[in-house]
Amino acid sequence: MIRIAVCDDEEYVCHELEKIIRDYAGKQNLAVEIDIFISGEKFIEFIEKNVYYDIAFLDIELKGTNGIEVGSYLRNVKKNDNTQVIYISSKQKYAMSLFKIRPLDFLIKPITEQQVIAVYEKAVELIDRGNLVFEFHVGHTYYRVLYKDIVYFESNGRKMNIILSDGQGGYQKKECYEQIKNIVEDVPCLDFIQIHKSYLINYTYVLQYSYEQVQMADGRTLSISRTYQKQVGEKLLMRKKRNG
Amino acid sequence: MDKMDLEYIVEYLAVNIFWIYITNRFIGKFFEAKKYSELIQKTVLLFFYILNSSMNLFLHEPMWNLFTSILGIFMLTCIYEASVLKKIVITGMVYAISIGCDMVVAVGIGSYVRGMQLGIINNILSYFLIFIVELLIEKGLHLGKQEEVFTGKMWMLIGVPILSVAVICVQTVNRIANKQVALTSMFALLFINVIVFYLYDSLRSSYAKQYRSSILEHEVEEYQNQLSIMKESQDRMESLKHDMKNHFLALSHMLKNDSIEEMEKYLGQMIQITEYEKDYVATGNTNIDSVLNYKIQQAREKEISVTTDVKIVEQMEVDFFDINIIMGNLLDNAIRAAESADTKYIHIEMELDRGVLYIMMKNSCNGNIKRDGEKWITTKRNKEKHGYGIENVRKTVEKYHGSMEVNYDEGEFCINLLMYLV
Repeated sequence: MIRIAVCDDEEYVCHELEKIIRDYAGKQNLAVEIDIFISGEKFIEFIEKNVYYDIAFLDIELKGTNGIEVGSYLRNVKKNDNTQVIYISSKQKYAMSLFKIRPLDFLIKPITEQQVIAVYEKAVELIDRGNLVFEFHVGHTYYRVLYKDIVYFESNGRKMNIILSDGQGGYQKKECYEQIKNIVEDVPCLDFIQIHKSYLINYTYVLQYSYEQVQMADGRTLSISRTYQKQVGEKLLMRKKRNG
Repeated sequence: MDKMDLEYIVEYLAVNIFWIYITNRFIGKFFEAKKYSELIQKTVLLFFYILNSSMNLFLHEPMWNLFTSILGIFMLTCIYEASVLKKIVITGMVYAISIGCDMVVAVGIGSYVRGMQLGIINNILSYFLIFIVELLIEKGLHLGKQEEVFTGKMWMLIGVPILSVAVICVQTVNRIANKQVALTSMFALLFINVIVFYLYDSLRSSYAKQYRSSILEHEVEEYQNQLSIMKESQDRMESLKHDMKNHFLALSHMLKNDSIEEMEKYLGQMIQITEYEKDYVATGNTNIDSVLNYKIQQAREKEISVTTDVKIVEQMEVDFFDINIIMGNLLDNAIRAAESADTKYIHIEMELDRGVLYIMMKNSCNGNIKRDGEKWITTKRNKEKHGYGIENVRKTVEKYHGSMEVNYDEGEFCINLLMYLV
């Protein structure tokens, strides 16, 4: 079940979007739940109570609390890096603060059905990949975690650290006897990038890329080793090509 | 202490000019900005020349010679803007090359031409050797990158000092008795070298300047065009606002008469007017907007349909110059290919995501391009033929440590690239 939020102070936009998505999901036989908000404040009220949405369509030009502030609340206050944010705007001009929210896409009004479906599919693909399971064991205890909660894998001698996010800004480290080279084939290749012999990171949790290092959501800055620099560039290109 | 004859002094002074020239030229390749004016630079050179020559001629203390040489080289590096460490390292390297070549020549001469007093020939050979080594380093490390235009010819140029050395060696080995002949030819060779390289260097830099100014000219045209697009858009909005009252009257009239269809048509027209902007890129980043819109207009004049999807910020850490090189070249190639295709289209995408700028361009092209296209993708030989276009794009992308991929597939050409902006 995909939970979607649509937040726009123009009601007809909300209804149009809802209609398009519901019709499409219906044809695909997918269950969706869509919540409509006609103000940024109302939306924040809900997320403040930890209501989770997989996808959020946000109007940038909202009266009152605008789209940037809403996105910022979601990412920086609630520390939610998983919800796919899609910005809707009547302009093509975007401020840097918008990009810091790492939205999935920007749609310019008037929005066509094709655009909505395309971005919806993109989001669903990402969500499906994120909901895949990673299994490991510590001693006799078996764990299953969703890939979307894994921030990165870190090599630690014969062991491997798995840094997990609880979706609210808390990070946990789990250790297991495994090697990165053994799991690298099994992880979703579009979302996980090996930047170093000892680091396999999740694209979703990267705040910023530079040629030599990445800034992760948990505050750590990991360096990209020279041997992997070229590969990382190629991987990022491939990812953009596939994801559109 | 043997009496220094006047001849030797004169020869030495002349040859030292050569050494100052090549040392100064070589050092210059490692640095970017000059801290002091030309006048000061020339003064330092002159001072170093006098100091160095007198020390070497009159003082026979090896330690003093070492000291003044190293100090002199260091002074030359101080003309440039750089960290002290870098200057020390460069000084060390230059001096090491000098010593190394001196030794090679001394040993070489010693073993091949025994018992002959070669005097100044030692120095000449040594300096030529130093020059050759420096040129090889320059070529090997791709120094002076900015002006890299005639790179292929560089190898030929290194032949000049090498051949000079050959001439000197042959003369020496054959013990040319007439000292005047020998020395005249050697000094002539020295100065030919200086002249050739001086010309080469100035040609390179003037070529680079020309290239830059042609890009700047383009930029000006693009800005002008952008301004006219913006003005056009503004004018349309103004006239719409001006006629608002009339439009409302017309619409309410239609409503009264229940002419819904007419109303829809009318409203559609009004929306179209405001959508003029949709035909063009308006990200607020004037640099990108100008380049893209200028080329888009050119493309549309050739009946190529252009679609865009641009998601970037108003302020980006990319040099306008570089954007022009990349977008300008890519679009020029795309336009050239698409205008002779059956279905003419170009699609441009740009996205800023987590500090990385992604650019994607697709364009249609006809089958004939395949032959050239494949060659162009796979080998570098056609670099000259297809212009410096794609190579310049590649070099610029490399400047940002980026990656680039070119694909050709069934009548469509596709380029993907990324650049790190941090």
